[in-house]
Amino acid sequence: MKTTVLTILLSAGAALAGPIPPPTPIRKPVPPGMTADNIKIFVKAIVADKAGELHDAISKYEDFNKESGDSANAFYNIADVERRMERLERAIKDYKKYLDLAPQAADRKEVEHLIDQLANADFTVVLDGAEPGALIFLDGKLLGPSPQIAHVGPGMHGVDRISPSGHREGSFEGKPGGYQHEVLDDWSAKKHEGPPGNVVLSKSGTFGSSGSWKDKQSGIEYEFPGRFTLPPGHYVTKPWDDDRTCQPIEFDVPKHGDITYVYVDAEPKAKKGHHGECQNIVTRVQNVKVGP
Amino acid sequence: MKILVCLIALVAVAHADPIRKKTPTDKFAKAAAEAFTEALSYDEKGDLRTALGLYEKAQGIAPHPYTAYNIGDVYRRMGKISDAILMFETYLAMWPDAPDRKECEAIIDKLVHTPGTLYLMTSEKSDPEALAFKDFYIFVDGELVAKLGTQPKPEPALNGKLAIAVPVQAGSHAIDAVSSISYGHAECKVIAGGKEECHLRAKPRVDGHAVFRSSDNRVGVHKDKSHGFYADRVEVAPGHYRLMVRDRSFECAPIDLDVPSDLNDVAYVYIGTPEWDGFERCRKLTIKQKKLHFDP
Repeated sequence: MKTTVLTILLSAGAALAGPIPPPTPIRKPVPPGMTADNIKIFVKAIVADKAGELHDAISKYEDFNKESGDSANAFYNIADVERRMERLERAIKDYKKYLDLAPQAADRKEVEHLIDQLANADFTVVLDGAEPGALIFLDGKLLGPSPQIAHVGPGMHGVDRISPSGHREGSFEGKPGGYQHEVLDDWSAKKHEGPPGNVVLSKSGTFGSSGSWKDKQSGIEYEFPGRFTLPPGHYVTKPWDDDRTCQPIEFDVPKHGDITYVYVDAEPKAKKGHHGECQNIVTRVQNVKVGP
Repeated sequence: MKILVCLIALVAVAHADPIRKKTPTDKFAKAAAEAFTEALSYDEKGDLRTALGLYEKAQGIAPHPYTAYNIGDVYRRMGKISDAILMFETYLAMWPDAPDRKECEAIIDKLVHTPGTLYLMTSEKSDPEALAFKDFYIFVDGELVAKLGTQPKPEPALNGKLAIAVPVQAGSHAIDAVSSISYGHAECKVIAGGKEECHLRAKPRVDGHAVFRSSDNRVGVHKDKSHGFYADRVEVAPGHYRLMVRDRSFECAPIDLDVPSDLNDVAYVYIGTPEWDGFERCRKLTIKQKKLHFDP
């Protein structure tokens, strides 16, 4: 049955994702039969690498390749520097070039394993913004003060940055071995409009819809996602005041001055042939302090 | 010095070739062995200059790890640290399984960490931006190396020129000079075991109660996203501040700063990083802060 095969494939993919290998250098020696001048270029690349001048090291290995012809060892060392530079795609390309040039390499299996590790490494995301004193949330979980570096598995992810003056949410798709700098500056239009609000309503990367609605019962205007002010109390509202979600969003706003962070996670909505079906949601509520 | 073993090794290179006829390799190996043998005799006599020339000749004819090692050792004895490092690395790169690899790595490590000397100097008094050293606090990489009242001394290594000698590790160094009325900065590089002049100048008047310095001019203390201070003295009212720090386009953790209430004092902040400037994130930062006191 196709479903079973797909499940197995997805599980296999998830199992492969993992941390980036540690940045320990592994360098190949100078290839045999080189002239003294070419050896010097190769060794200068090693010395530059050891001194932390990584761009210079790569450029010297490239000079070596120009002078002596493409060398498997030079490509390996370039890939090794690129791996430590956190340029995984380039490292993979150059490890492959090494294997092309040295098909009988004794460490072929190790290099193939390393390529596999890099290709399936967790997605790296740098989450930051402009306003100081902000908190970062990833998939509804508090990571800590901004900035944060997170390593995540494949799929859609939702992020929030709550600053003393505002809020910004975003979403991104994690791809194996990838990288993204997610800049979450406060929404500029809202930056200077009165108090920033004591409630943040946000959603997961799998919850497609966003917008605002006026709750018929309470008359409250909800922004989704958004940051707004509500007096202390208990709140229950159905997004867009219709049946798009199976459950309402329910939360309490406490009397003290914390921010109530309401995160709504959803099962991916069924698409073709399932119009009108509601989406199951789970609401997670946290009270947090933002600012110095 | 690699002596007998090396000779055997050089000959062994020739003997490893087919015996049927003399290959070009034989010809080169023989010539290299001759130059190497002659180099050894000069090396033993202590004529390092001639020995070096002959070793380099041997290496140019037919490169060999032992020749590289001996060149490195001659450079080491001549005090040419960078050249010695390059040749010891050549030895290891040519012979990764060398039985004395660990010992050679230890030699390289020692050489790499041989301190160099920065000679902090300034221009003649005819230059309006010349420093009167005694009026300045001088910092190297955020560390205080000269307090108020320090005078430069005549340095024999500089033919008696006046300087403040500071031992430093090889690499690029951020220098700051702060007086009650001025601020100057420079970036000076020195190689392992090297001696470099480092010239400092400061505008006659640069006021403000805080000095911010980034080791590579890429990490700034920001008042907003686009306006940062990288090597600046600025006016900041006394008080406690939490300041935004950005490394290029990346946000970093903020720093706390106390600006002294004594109007004669200055808060000095240095932000350094040991990491490569291509990482796409805020790098690991070292923050050093100092309160500088000036008498009215």
